[in-house]
Amino acid sequence: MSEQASWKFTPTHFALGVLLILAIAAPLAFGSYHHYLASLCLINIIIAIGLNLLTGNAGQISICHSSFMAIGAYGTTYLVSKVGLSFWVALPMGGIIAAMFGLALGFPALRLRGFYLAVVTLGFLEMSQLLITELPSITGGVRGMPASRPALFGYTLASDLSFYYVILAITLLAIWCAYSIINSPTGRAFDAIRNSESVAQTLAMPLSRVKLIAFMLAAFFAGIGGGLFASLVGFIDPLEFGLWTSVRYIIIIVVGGLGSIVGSVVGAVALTVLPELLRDFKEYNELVFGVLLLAFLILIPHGLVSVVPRIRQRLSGKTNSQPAISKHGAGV
Amino acid sequence: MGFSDFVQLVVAGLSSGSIYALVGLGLVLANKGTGILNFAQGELVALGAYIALFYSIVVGLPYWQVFILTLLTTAIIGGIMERALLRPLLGAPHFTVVVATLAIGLIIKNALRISWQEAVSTFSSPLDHLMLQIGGININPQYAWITGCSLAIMGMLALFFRKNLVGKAMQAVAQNTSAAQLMGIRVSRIFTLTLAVSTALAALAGILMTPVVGVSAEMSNVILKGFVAAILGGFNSLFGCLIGGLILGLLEIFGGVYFGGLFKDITAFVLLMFILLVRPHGIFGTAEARRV
Repeated sequence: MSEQASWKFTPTHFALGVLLILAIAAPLAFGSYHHYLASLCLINIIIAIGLNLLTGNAGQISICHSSFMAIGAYGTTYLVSKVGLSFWVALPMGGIIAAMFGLALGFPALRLRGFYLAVVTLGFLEMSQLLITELPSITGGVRGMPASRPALFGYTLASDLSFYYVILAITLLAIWCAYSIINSPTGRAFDAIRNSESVAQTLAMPLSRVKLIAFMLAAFFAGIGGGLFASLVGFIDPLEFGLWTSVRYIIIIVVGGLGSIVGSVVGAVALTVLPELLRDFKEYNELVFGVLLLAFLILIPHGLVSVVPRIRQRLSGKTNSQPAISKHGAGV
Repeated sequence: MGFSDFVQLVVAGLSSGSIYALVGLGLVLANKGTGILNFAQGELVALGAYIALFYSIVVGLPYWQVFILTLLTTAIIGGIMERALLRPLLGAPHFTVVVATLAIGLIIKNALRISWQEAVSTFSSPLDHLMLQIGGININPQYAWITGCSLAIMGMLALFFRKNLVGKAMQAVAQNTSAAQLMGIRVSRIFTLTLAVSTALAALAGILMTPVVGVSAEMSNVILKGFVAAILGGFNSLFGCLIGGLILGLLEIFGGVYFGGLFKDITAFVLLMFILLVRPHGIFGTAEARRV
């Protein structure tokens, strides 16, 4: 890339810097509940980024993302509490276990596409729910399983603020990884198979390998997110990882913007904060989310990230019929 | 296991199998007719059961009237749903269809939860206190009724597709939409009608299930079993779907008896994986020509 040689400090970099400083400094002004909420936002960002790589970039439908999250959560918690590993070893291992399951699920996905893939992932979700409830010796069954906060340099991250900073660091790492993947040959291969599998295959693209990588990456991100989630909340049960959770991540990436990291971030923040604002109408939450999802699919299919460029275009009076986000989003 | 136990298990397996077949049939009909795979089908089952509950408890109608009224009501709801929500999705990418129908399911499920908060969660059927005895073997009349009723409705449906002009038009649209349109069939009406029939089938499954499992929003989980039944049958034939559902029902019951409860629950998923990997076009379906 030629831009890399002449790197310039653009307004975008300025905005990113401000955001980063805000993310580090702002929590100091707030209380523990807000730290917890902010940590939840970050975890949702990690998980949503994984799903967005698989669905938004590689174009593979998955409604079992919450299962990978569950595998990461239970795997990490089990390794910490029963095997006695350090959290910092258990967390990546939880992610790797989830990735292995992603690989296993990826194999049938090689032969299937579209609707059939959706059905298989639905089946995988149901089965993982069953296994969690039916294997209480490992998972604690329907009664759930307690999880503990990790220690760093001999200091337990018991306060929500200290844990928040750790999660922030991991989230930044995840965003950087996803950014690098999208801009690597693998990321371009994702775009290619999303747009047309036949064309990608004609161009000698290793279709199966690319798809398997997409599944493994998505599962790994979800597994890491799940492990962090378990530790943050301090308790996990199978209800936490049902169909609704999967649909929630789909809503996040659709509302934010398919195939865009910024979209994952915006969507995750919006859909973590929104239910908290609507806490008085808790029983209507899922209903509102369902309507929101339907509205976005029909009215703003490219998500919130497409809104700002479109408004800017409208204001500058250009009648460019090209959609603002032409690189991503289409053809999923 | 004695002979009488065996017969009772078979009857129970056939009854749950015919429920799966009904759900699967609704999925296949909508998919063949309009190209949409309806992930809200499970919620439509629950919707049917709740509407029947409403007619039965709040309005206080007898079972037979509840039965017919519920089917009519859900058919109308299905038609409206097609016009308002599914029509914009025709020809949309698979992801959009899957997510939109999931959203519709989510909305239905929560609307049901919020609107019905009474403790009553089942309605009486005239078969509740009956006991059926055939050749000295006790048979739960509910099971017999579920199986018999589903088979009768499916038989009627088959006749409708073979003999009735509207039924033939529906088949024509399913086979080739543009050709059907050129032959003067009003395709958009057929779409609405197809979704109406598909929704009514889901509701029928809901009504029949109620005396056995009770009414709850979790009834919607039956959709996976419906998928398995439909995929076993190749996702294109009424008969295949029926046989697929019955096979799944029997496998579940006997698997549960011999290998325990966990086996019963994961049968559906294992079968799904197996079929999709080994014979993706089902037992009765024909292979797709395109396999890149």
